This record gives sequence, C-alpha cells and structure tokens, in this order.
Amino acid sequence: MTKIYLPRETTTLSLGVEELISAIEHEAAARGIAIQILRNGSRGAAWLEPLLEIDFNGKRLGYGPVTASQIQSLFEADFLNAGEHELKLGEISDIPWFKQQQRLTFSRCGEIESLSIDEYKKHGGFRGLSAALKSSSKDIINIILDSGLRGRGGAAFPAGIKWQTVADADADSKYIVCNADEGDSGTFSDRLLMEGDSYCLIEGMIIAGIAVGAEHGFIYLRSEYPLTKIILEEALIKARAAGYLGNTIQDSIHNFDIHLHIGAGAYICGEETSLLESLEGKRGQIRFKPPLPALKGLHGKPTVVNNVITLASVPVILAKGAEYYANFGRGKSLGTMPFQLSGNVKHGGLVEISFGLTLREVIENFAGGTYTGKAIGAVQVGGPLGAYFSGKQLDTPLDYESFSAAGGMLGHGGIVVFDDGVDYLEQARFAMEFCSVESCGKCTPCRIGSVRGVEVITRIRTAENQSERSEQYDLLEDLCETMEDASLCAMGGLTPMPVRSAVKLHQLLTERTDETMRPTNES
Amino acid sequence: MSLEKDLDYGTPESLCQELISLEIDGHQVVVPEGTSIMRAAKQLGTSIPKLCATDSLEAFGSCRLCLVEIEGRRGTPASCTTPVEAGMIVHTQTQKLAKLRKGVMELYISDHPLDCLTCSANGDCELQDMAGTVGLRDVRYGYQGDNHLNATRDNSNPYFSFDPSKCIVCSRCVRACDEVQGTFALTISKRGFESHVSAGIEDSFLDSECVSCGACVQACPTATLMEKTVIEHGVPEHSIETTCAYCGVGCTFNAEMKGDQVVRMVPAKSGKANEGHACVKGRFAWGYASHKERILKPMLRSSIDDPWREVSWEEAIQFTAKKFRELQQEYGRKAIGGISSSRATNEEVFVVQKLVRAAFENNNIDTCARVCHSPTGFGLNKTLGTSAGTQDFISVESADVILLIGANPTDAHPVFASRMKKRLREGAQIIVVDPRRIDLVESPHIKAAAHLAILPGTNVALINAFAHIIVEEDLVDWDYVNHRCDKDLFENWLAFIKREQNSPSYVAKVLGVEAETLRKAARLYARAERAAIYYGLGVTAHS
Amino acid sequence: MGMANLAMLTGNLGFNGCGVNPLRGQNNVQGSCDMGSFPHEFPGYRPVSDDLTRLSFENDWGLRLDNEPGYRIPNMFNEAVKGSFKGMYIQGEDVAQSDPDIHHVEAALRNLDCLVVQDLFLNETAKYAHVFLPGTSFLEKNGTFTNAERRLGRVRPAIKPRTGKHEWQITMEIAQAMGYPMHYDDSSQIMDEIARLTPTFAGVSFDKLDRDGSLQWPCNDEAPNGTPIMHIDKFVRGLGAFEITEFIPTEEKVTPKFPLLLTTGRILSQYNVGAQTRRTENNVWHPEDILEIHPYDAAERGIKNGDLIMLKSRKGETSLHALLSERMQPGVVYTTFHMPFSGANIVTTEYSDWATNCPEYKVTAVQCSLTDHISEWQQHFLDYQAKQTKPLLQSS
Repeated sequence: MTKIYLPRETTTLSLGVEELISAIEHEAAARGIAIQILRNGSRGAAWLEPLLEIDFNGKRLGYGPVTASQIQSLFEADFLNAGEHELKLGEISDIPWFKQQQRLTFSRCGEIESLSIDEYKKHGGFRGLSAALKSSSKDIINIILDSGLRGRGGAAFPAGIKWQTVADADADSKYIVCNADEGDSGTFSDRLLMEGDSYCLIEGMIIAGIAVGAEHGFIYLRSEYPLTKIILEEALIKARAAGYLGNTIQDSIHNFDIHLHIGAGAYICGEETSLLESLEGKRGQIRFKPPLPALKGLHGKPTVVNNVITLASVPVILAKGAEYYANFGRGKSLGTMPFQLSGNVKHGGLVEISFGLTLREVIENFAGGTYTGKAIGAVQVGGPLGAYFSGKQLDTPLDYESFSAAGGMLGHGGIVVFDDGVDYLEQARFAMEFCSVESCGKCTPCRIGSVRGVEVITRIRTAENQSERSEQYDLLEDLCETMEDASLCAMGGLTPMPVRSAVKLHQLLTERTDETMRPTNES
Repeated sequence: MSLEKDLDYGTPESLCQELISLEIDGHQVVVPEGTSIMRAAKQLGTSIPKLCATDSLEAFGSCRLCLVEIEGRRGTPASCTTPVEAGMIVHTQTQKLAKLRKGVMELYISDHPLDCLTCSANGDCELQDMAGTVGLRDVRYGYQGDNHLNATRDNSNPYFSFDPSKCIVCSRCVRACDEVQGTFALTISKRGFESHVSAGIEDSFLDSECVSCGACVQACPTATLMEKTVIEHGVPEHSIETTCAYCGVGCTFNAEMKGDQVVRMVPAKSGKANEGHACVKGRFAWGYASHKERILKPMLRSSIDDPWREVSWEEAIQFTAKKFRELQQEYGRKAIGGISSSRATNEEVFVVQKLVRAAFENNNIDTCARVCHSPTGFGLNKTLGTSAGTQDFISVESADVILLIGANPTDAHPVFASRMKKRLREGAQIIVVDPRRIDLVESPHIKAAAHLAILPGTNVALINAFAHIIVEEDLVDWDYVNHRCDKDLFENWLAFIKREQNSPSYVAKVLGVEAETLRKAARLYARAERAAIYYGLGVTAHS
Repeated sequence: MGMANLAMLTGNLGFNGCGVNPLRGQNNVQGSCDMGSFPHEFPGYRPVSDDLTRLSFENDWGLRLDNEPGYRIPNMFNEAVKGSFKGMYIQGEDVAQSDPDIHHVEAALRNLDCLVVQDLFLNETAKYAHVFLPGTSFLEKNGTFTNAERRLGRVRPAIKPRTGKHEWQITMEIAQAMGYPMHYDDSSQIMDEIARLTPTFAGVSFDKLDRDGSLQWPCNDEAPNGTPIMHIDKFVRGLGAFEITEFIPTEEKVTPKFPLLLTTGRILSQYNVGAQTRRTENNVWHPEDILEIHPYDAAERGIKNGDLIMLKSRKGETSLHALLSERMQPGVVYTTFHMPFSGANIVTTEYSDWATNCPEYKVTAVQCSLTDHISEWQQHFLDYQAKQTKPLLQSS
C-alpha cells in the first residue's frame, strides 16, 4: 500500500488540496488500488504546492503542483510506482530549492505526518526535551546563550539573556508566551512551522518553561489562522495525553501546560506588550518599557515572550548542542533563519538558510527572478516596517548587522520583491497608510502622524510646482523625525524606514526624469 | 480641571525608602527610587511639558511631549514612564527635544478646533498651555486633513457634557475611571486615528455604567469633558475649601465661585478623606441649595390644618420660646425636648443639646443617629472604651483581608468604596456579608473571596460563628489576647463562644449559609496578616 | 461588639490595615454623637449622671443641670401619643419619613402642641409643625463636620446664609428668649467651648483646623496632631473587654401570610430621605424607589418587570414598581427609602434593639402581590401633600 503525502496547510488548502484528495481516493477506489493518504505540513515551496509526495522504497518522490484535473493522468502514468509524468519532480532532497537550504528548525516540516507524535520522535523530536530534563536551568540557559540564538520575531534580542532575566527574577509564578501573531505582510514561517511541526514549538516552549521555572505557556495565535488553530488544538491534546504537558511531564519534577489564545485581529498585538495586554483580556495597546516583560509581563509576572521560530529553534539546539547551531551563520548572526520570499517572484515560499547569503543570492538562487520577468526594482525586507532596498543594495548580506548598517532590518525574515515598474511614492504612501490602519492609537505621533503622512505624500504627488513639492518633502521629513523619535513603539518608530527609503527611490527616479525632461538650453 | 492649580507632579509619589541622586539640567536632585524623571524634575521646579500625565494617575506615556535626553542612552525616552536611576544625567531642554515637542503639538492641533476664544476651557486648558509652552506658531499640515471636528457632542449626563471634537485621546478620563473611581465605564474604542473615548460600548454617558463621579471631568485636560455649569457661567474666579454634607466620608471640596454663585464643586487633592476624588452627590448634586422649594423665611401657624404665614425671625423665635415655656408650665419640665441633626455642624448640634439641657432644663435630647448607629457606639464603647471607628480611611489600603458586613459602600460611601476597590485590585481579598449581591461581590476587576448571603437580621450569629471557628481551629492570636485583653472577661467569653449554639453547623441553619463556607471565610479573616472590618447600617440596625 | 471581639481575638486592632470601622450614614453622625446629642450623655460620651462631668458643665454654663437621663426619640413619641410630651424642636431631621413605623410617628407628631421644625424644605415632618425655621445649606454654614474616621473638617461658607441667620444663631436666640443667656459672636467660639468642656477635643480650634487642614480626634495634649489609628499599644479602656454577644433571633418571622423578608438600603444617586438629591438632576438615575424581587418569587406571584406591586406587612402597605433581580436570594426583597411617596417605612416594624432602642430597619416580614392602585396611605399622602403646599404656593 503506497503512502501518499499531501499537506494539511493553509496555502495548500486554498489551492484545493481537499478536492485533490477526494479525486485521488475516488480514482484509487475505481481502480481498486489501496492507498494511504498521510497529511504532512508544507515544506515551504509554495510555488510547488499542492506538492504530492509518495513514499517509494523509502525515498520521497514529488509531483507538483498538482490539480484535481491531473489526477487521472497521474494514475495513468502509474505515479504510485514513480511513473513518469510532466509533474514529476524526482526525489525531494534533490530539488535545488531544498538542496540549497540548511534546514535545522524546519528539518521535519513537510517530512513527517504533522500530528503524529511517533513520527515526530522518530525524526529526532523530544530529544532536546530529554536533554533539558537532564540539565539544570542554568545549563539550559547557557546552551541557549552559547548557541547565539536571537529573537526571530524581528527585534533579534538574544534569547538566552531574556531567559536568564526571567529565570533570575523572584516571583511566585512566571510565564512563557509564544508570539504567534504573525502579522508582517509577506511572512508565513510561524504558520508553516505550527501547521507542519507543531510539536517542535511545544517542545521548545516546554524547554523554555523548565529553563526559567514557568509552569504555564500561552500561544497567542493570530485570528486569521483558523487551520493553525485546529492543528494546534489537536497537537496540545495529544501532547497532553502523551504526558508531555501537564503535571510531572515525562515523570519529571516539572509541570508545564500550554494554553492557546486566539488573537484580537490587530497587527499591533504582535508587539509584545500589546500582546500581553490582549492576552490579559484588555485592549491591545502598547505598554511602555521599562518595566520589561521579562520582569513584569503577563499579569505583572516575569514572562518570556518569544516568537514561534525562536522557540522552535530551541529543540535542535538542545538536541545537538550550542556549537552545532552556532556553526551556522556568521558574526553575531548565528544559526539559520527562515526567509520568506513573496511579491513579484517566480518561486515564492520559505527557505531556511544560514545567515550570510546576500539578498541578491537568495533572490537569484531561490526566487528565480521576478514573476513579471522585468528587472528587480526594489526589495522590501523585514515586513511592512522594513526598508526598500534598491538594485545597488542587493549585495547586502542577510544578517542582522549588515542590514542594520544598510539602514534596514531583517525583521521576521520577509522578503518582498518588486519589479522596476513599481511606484515608490505609492509604496511610501502605503507605508503611512498601513501605520494609520494598524496603529493602536495610543501615542500621538503614530495616531495622528500616520494620517498626516498619507496626506502629505498625497500632496507631494499633486503639488503644482517644485517649491510646493519641496515644502511637502520637508514637512514629510519633519514628520518622519517626529514619528521615529517620539513614537511609543516600533510601529510608529519604524514606519519612517519604508517611507524614507521609498521616497528616496522615488526622488532618485523623478530627479532623473526631471533631468531628462529639463530643456538643455536652460542654463 | 480646576481653578485651584494644585502642583501637579505628573506621576504618583513613590513610597520607596531608597533614595536616588541624579542630575537634571545641571541640578542635583534626590528622590525615592521608583520616582519618574518627570516628578523628580518637578521637585526641582522644572516643568517638563506634558498632557497625558497627571499625578493622580499612573504614568501612561502616550502624549510624547515629555521626552527627555539622558546621557549615555539612545533615543528620547518619555520622562513620565522612565524611572530615575542613580547618577543619571538628564536634559529636559535641548534643540532636538524642542523640535520633537513642537512636532507633536503640531500634530495635535492639526486635529483640534481653533475656537479657543469661545471655548469653555479658555484659560483653563492644558492643550492651550502646551501649545504656548512649546512655541507652536504654525500648523503646516493645514486644517483640511482628516479630523474629528464634526464628532457629535454627548449631552446626556445632566451635569457634564462630552465633546469628542476637542478630545486629544490622552486617556486620562479612561484611566481616572479605572484607577481612581474603579468603575471601568469608559474605554477607548477602535484604534489608530479612529481611537475615541467611549462610554461602555458606544453608549451615551447616561446609558453607560458611568456613575457620574466626575473623576473623568476632573482629569480632562481640555474642554472635552466639562461641567455644564462652567459652560453656562464661565470659568470660576475664586474658591473656598469646605466639606461635603452628604455621607460619612466627608470629602473636602473646593467650592468654585463667581461672585456669590457656586459654579462647580471640585474635590480637593488636599482632602485626606477623599484625596481629590468625589461622587455624583458631592460633586454635582448641590443645586438643592438654590432650589425653588427652599424656604427662606420663618413661618408660623396655629394649627397644622391652617396655611403657613410668613413672619419675622423675631416673631418666630419669641413665639417658640413662649409656647415652650407655657407647655412646661402646664405639663411639666419634661414635656418638651429636641432632636438634633446628624447633618448639622458640630457647633449647631452642640448648641441644640445645650439649649435642651440649659434652657429646657432636662435631658430630652436625642439624635437621628439613633435610627442608625447607636448600637455601634454602645458596643465598641463597652469593648474598647470608645465608640468610634478605629482607623483612618487610608488604612484600608494596607488591609489584606476586608470583612464587609451589612454595608454597600459603592452606593452609600462611594469615595471610600473607590479606595477599597483599589486595594482589592492590588490583591487584597474581601468577604461580603449581605443578603443582597452588592456590587463588591462582583464587578469589573473585583471578585469577592466569599459572599455570605445571610438572611437579614442574623449578623450577630454570623460573627459569633466566626469567633467559634477561630477558637475551635486555634487561629487565635494568643500573644495579643494575653497581653492586651482582660483575662477574666476573655475566659468568660470563651466559655460562651464555645457553645454549640455558636458552632458553624448550628449557625449555618440560622444564616442560610453552609457551614464549610463559614469556615473558609473565618479562616481567611483569621489568617490574614492585616484584616479589617467595615460595617454599615445593615449590622447596627439589629445587632 | 461581636466584631470588636473578633478583631481582638485575631490581633487586628491598633494597627494600620486592621480595625473595626462603621461606615456612617450621614455626614455628621459621628459629630452629632460626639457633641452629646444623647439623653444620657454629655459631649464626649460622658454620662449625665457623672457628677464631675456635670459639674464642669454647670460651672461653665452657670446653672444646675438635670442628672437624670432624658427621653430617647421612641420615648418622646410614646409620651407624645400618651399626651404628656407636648413640644419638640427638630433640627434638620425628617423623622416622619426616616423613622420606622410612620403611623406611630404621625400619631405622635399630631399630638404635639408645638412642633418646631428647622430645615431647608417643608419636609414630611413639617406637615405637622407649627413653627418652621428655615435652615442653611452646607454652602452657607461655618463650622465643622466629623466624618466616619473621626476627622474634623472645616465647613466654610461659600455664600452668606440665604435666610439671614445661621442655624446656631436661631438656637441661641430661642435659648435667650427662653431666658437662658446663651451668647456667641461666631461659631468658632462654640468650638472653643466644645474644646474647653470635652477632653478628646481639647486641642481643636478653627485656627488649628485652618492651619492643619483636618484633624482626627482625640486631639489634645497627648495627641496634638490628632489620632489616625486608635488603640495602638493599649485600648482606650485599658485591657480589651470580651463581651458576650448572644444572638437573639428577630421576632420578625416570616409567616404564610407574610412569607418574604424585606430589607432596605441606599442607591448611589440618592441620599437618605432624598430631601436634597430629589431636588437635583440626580433623579434621572433614580426617579422612584423600586422593589427588587428575585425572579423565582416574582414568577410565583405572576410579577413581571415594571409591574405595580402592593408591598404589605403587618404594619401597613405601600405600592412600588417591581424589578426582577438575581441580586436577591429567593425569599428576600429589597428597596430603598429615598422617596417620601413610596413610604417604604410605612411597612417597617417597630422592634427595637434591646440596648439602644435602635429600630429594626432592616428586617420586616412582607408579602407582595400585583395591584392596580396605590395604597390608601399613599393616596392620603398625596391629598395631604396637596393641602399642605397649596397655601404656600399661593403666598409665594
């Protein structure tokens, strides 16, 4: 009986995987062939989804992207026995998209049946936890410190230091909060991990709990991920039943349980203090810092707030050691990072690679150029608050320090590509508009500034003469300064980053145009 | 807002014992740890611009006017939310800060009506003050942009109006409702530019949970929340500090006047009973003093079926005196008496009892306190030696467990209730003994550890059962009893309290409350580090 | 005192955060008690029978004082009904509305030959009065109130007495007219006399209050700045006295005819008998007294929200609108007593606390039933009200 793998994952679902399964089952039944359909997660190659895989003599062969109308022809080509077909991709591990990656955190994602604890364990799962259960809190934190793991949510704060702070805090209760409010446009790594390898996140949270002495964890999941919710709920039930959650986990002295909380549907709740407010049942509004959440977090107690990928990177570090993980990456950006390619690209999806490749290399090696076939105009890295990088900047290496030095940020690893037909001023306006829509409204620069920003940029476009326009440019720059320096959190504080970079690109373009249009006999 | 400009330190006082020394604009200042930079600066006499901060509320950090620069630190942190640190060197006035503050004010004013001259808060508006302070001269964004100038005014509350077109969304009203009053009636609805103050879920103020305590009006830095009397009469010109005449909390108020007309009553921060807070009665319901039904001239009539006749003071007083003397002559010295009022001043009461004892020559004087609190006087006097309450109000802020018996402070003593609720939100527990599920049993952010819904009239049985349980389970503070109490009386009482009739299982039937519930509550009271009892009419009227 | 026993038993007296505290109803319940408004006690809770205390007053006031306790309010009413008590001076207190058992009170008041009422408004009691002396509001008063934490706060006049006379002046002039030479130039002199004659107030004066803001008594040489917390280190009486507090069940019992227990209370927006708050916009929150009844009890009687209900006790009956509320347990109904028309006290009984004659406000056995008319008493109230205010309206 051949095993067929088809992802149970949001993208694939939207591409009609359920209809596909019905068609396969129908066709197999009609032909009297016994098959077993297993549900894995997505491996992240969105451009190949729905990616159908079969287990052929222990090897995983892929066909994709498959549509229901092609099922009959696949059966006719005897795909169950590796038959040739125009969709045949060959052995998964040989596909360049996967071959070029260094998958540490996503090693199991797409490979295993996502909700099977046995499969998870067979593929190295819970080894990190076993190691943690044998270690002291101090040892675990030292391993995390030595691994160089930094927060993958965007701020890149060293995870070990955060854990240490919480571990050292004196309190009757502490919490682990997983930030799964993945709101940056063009990012989906959290979702892929949670849908494809949820036990990995659970394991990471348990280890964090043991390390800092917390007995309760919360996953704050964005409300726009309904399938993820279903999968996580099931995973939590199974993990509890298997003794990985609850009291005396795996017969140790440790208690730890995880509660799933569905977010309030606001981008700002991805900001950790807003998230905590929301988790407490309040309006998702920014809290000022200090006090740090590590000292006064959820319900005023010391709290680790980490992103999904940060926590999901913990098991492999504990299982294979700090050095193993730190051998990937470069400088202060150690380990791997799942980058997510989207926008105007031929091949979109997630790639987990060591820090250090240049932006250009990633786009060329994985994305296969623009979807429209035009030249690359700009790339926005790090979500809606990230800077626009022009062609010249594409050689910036993808690591925290290099990006910061280039006036940008890696953020949560979103890479959105635009071709050279993009209207930069519109992108700048969009950045302000995004801020105005998603601002929590607490602080003035963000609440009013973003709205004025949209208006000023609109006036730049409609300005009737150069002096009027330059007046508005000056005002925009003053506004950016006010927003950057005076905003309460990164929402308003970082909005100037895409605005300024896009405006600069726009100005470069228009100056060039102005120059070409300027009568030569003027001077 | 108020006429009396009390010094506003911007953030609450830190009660920390540790002192921290730092430098602000070249001056050294020493303040308790936990003090904000804003407060430390104010202590030096340096006012850092601010709008969302006021010292009756916790720091919030939303207006972004109070930014400062700290040597060795990146950025421009808000001085209200940044606590002092030893050796810190702070600059409150730099070119950069001036530009940022002006930038922020420019944004504020780009969404504010320019009607200062005709505004009810003219001369009494912090927004206006700040625009002046930062030197705003121009709003380059113009006034054509998106704005809230057409937002509809809510006049539903009889005493104050809410004009959202003037709102700067500083949340002071919301925070005052939460932190000071503890009602949680207000919120900010929607987000971003659409953020706006909302009573309940977009209710009118009148239809919302608002209890009209006026804390929001007091906290508002603009004309958004404004007393209707001020809108009608203008800003007051002088003020007289006095004491409210409603309940037993005795809040200190400033009667803010225009000539001989009261414009508004503003709770005084200096008042130790209320510390700047008030309730709907004291704050707003003073109009009765000039109600048309008030009688201003003495009146007489010979029979109660006759109509009243206005007379001079002289005639009324002479008539009274003559009549009283005649009655005494005819029916004896004791045939007349007086009742003094619990609403009158001490001086007025004193002279009434003196009138009775000295002029009536008998002791036929009593007070309406008779109908409510005299058993208290009797009981406490016998046990402790004096009949009055043992604590000051602020004591409740140190209580760990509160036993509330037959009192409904959120209705009857609202300002004290707010203090109590604040303590409960900090983690103290409350046991409510009341036949009725009063608000303190369960209300926003308050949940009683126990509600003992006893049958009316059974308080004494309950208290005896508590004592029985404490004795039986040996939760007695022996050291205290041995050193501070009369041994013989105690032994005598002990024998009484141990009786079966005081046991929880027996009393449970009398009260209609389960014995185990009684036990748990009694233990909670007895084991508390600091436990306080507050009681009201519900107890004294039949103990 | 059971509560004081409890606090002593657990060591919860004499420290911050502890104690036994009454929440006083009116603004100056504490003060009016402190000021000796008792038939058996002088100011400062000292028995009239105590020779030394009495002597100090006699010396100061220049005459001999009665050493026998006088009548308590219920005694006055009883004597009035009997016909031996004929004249009363009532300062700012609407006994006809706030005392339980209005029928009895009415009968007593009607029997008086001279009832003098001193108040802001023609209250219910004034309907039986022969002399009405207009009083002052707190905005006109100059003096002190003492709150529930024993704190004396200054009451300062925002405006002059609208009646032309301070209330203490009225009292003083009655005394003078009766031949007793009472004289003060202003109210601060009264406080000076209080301080002179009352050891716990020895350190109090208007000057000191104006300087310090407010003071908690005792305030004297031992505690010059007042006393926030009492009984620190030792009790006022020395050793704490555990007193036996036998529970005596109320005689008020539910019966098949009166199967519900009525208890009364207050609402935020109204104050006591509502004389003030009823005359403000506060009525928007509470225009009438409402009977709260548990849905279970209501269902048994076919009562729905808003229905007019006749509330009956052995003493009397009144009609109120019903509010179905789960705040009550089944078997208990609740109302406020802010509105004269509802006459909630028309149904309350006159059982008194054995030691102090405190009326048993809070428990009355009652029955509720749907009705389509107001009670006889309420009709009488309306008629009498119309009759009493009519000539007044004509004159003004």
